[in-house]
Amino acid sequence: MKNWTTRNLVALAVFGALWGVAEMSLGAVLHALKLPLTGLIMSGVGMLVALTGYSFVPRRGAVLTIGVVAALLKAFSVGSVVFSPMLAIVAEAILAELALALGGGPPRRAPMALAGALAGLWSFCHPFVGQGLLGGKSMGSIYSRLIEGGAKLLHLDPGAVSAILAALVLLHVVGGAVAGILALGLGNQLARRLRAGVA
Amino acid sequence: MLRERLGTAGSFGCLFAVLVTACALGGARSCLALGLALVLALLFHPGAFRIVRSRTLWTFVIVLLGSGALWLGPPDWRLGSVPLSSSGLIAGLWMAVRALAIMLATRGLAASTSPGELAGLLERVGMRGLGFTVGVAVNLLPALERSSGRTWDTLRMRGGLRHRRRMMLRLGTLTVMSNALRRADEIAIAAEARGFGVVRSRPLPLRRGALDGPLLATLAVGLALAVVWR
Repeated sequence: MKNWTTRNLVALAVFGALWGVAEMSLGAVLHALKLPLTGLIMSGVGMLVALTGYSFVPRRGAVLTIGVVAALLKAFSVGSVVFSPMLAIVAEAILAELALALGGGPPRRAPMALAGALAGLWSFCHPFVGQGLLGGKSMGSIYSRLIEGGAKLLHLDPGAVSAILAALVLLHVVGGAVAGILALGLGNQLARRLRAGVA
Repeated sequence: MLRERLGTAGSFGCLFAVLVTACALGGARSCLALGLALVLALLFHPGAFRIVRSRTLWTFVIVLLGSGALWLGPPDWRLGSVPLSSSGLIAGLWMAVRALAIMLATRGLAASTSPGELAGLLERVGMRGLGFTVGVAVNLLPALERSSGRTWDTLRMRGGLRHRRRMMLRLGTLTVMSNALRRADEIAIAAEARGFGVVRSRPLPLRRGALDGPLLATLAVGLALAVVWR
């Protein structure tokens, strides 16, 4: 962070605040209502914001900084569950950062999609870490709830475990990748808008 | 006055203690978190009690109770034709208690510390630049709230999300982001004019209070007991 400019930091603050606001408002409501795929929705929104931020500040550590800012803001959230989403935000930011580091260079479609996909995949794995390892719930019960929920959501037979798992993983990966690609387009549009001076 | 003898570290300690207690203790024991938040607010942050006038707060509590009764447990009684669960209602109640505790403590911290102090604290624990970034982000929250409210009002006047939803959503997102970036530009110019830089900046000064040490020690012992009791 040492050679980052003030403008870089302020831009990251903007995108961190946007992700944080989304988590504090939409995330809190979705988690309270226990809607299906809340993790994927919030991961998609987060990646849309964070990767748009990366297209403005294409430096190593930018997405992680945005994630840490959002996680700190989430600590001030009104919802009753705070630590687990905070952990999810930071984990998604780290995975996205890794994917962008692998891709290297300026923001391009493939690394952005990979970053979104990895973050989306984390939202699939997160219940096992957040509720299992940290919350103390048994892995078996989390797994069976995941399969039951997936079967209901996808209208599949609960016995077709591998099909349900594959469909859920695919859904999360594709959802995240789409968020990454959309972020690139959004970043370009935003840059054009700012250059043109349109509010 | 007690609150004048509490510094930044003490205020953060209060929030941290309530957060950990709320997360560590489930069920009826969540009341302890609310009790702790009430005592700390009464002693150090009376301004936090302003949240009881917030309609949003009570709507949120009602949503938690309602969603608990509707979805969190097996239905065992009916309100008219709606099946409700008493165990779900109780689970929703404990969620609401934890949420109230966290909101009270958060409001207490917000009333007693500034984003600058928050930034100063983070800079001191080795996160150079991050403190400034978080400070700016916290400062931006009210502006973002206003900007998104106005954007939504404008979209609603143009027909809302009834038709061309994708385009309207994209326009809304773009407008909120570009407004925020414009405001960020102003902040960056102001910060640069004051000579701010990641390398040359010194952490912002923190308030120190005579009660910081004793309060933090008491809270640490209390937290250890709460974790063991869990």
